[in-house]
Amino acid sequence: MSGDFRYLDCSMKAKLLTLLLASLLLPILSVAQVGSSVVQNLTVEVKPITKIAVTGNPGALFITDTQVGSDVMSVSDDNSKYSMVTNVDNMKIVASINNEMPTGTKLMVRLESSSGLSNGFVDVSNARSPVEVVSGLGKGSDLNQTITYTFAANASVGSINTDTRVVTLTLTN
Amino acid sequence: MGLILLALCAGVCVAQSQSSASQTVTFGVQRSALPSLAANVSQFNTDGESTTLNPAPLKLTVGSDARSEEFVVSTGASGVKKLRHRETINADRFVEASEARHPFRSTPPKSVITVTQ
Repeated sequence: MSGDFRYLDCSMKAKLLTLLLASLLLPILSVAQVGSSVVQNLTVEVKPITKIAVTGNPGALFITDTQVGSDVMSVSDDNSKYSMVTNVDNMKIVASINNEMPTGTKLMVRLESSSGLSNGFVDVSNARSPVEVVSGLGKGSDLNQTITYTFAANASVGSINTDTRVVTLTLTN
Repeated sequence: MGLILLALCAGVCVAQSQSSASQTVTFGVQRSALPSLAANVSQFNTDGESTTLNPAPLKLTVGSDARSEEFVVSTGASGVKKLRHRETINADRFVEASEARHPFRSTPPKSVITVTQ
């Protein structure tokens, strides 16, 4: 009798087969339930970013006697550029000079700006404290903007030996 | 102590929202001594800030001690100007004589001309 399935009807055979398959799958299901988990906390923050850079120095600004017939003589240079990027609103660029210009002379600077408002030519001759040259800068970047320097001297000013000044541009809020 | 730490923190926060870049600007003024005076002048001396001329023929003038003659000069600042006697004008470093008129004499008198820089 044992092992002889010929005497079972079809429905009994089906039930028996299902039971057999279930018993075969049970170990697989048991293995799948074995697992391990870990949890990590990610802290995300975007810091305020402000960056300004310049491309080298402007060309030398020499006034010569070739400019006659004027009370004020001047020369300009617009060969240097600046780029800036920020993710902060209401930024501005200020300029300062390390030493005052000689009496009777003037140094002016103008920064072009496509995303802010340029203040045009700003006199930085005595700007030991920073003066505003660009205002209203919002989030974003401004690349390869032209810096123009103008050096002017009154006609009464005699010769001035070659000298230098350091002009610092600061992107700030 | 807490206030000091707070002040330091505020300083750091301000520094984080600034960025600077510097440029070196080179400048100078190069002037030669009265560059426009030499062309038509036979005699002149430069001494410090003034030049004294004793021209013959008279071609350049700014101020003259000649009494009755008129000298017509042009300068960068004043344009064409008629001068009588000794008269000093602001030459603005550029002086050019355009004419010397001598209504009573055929030859120019000896005059001492002073050009002030």
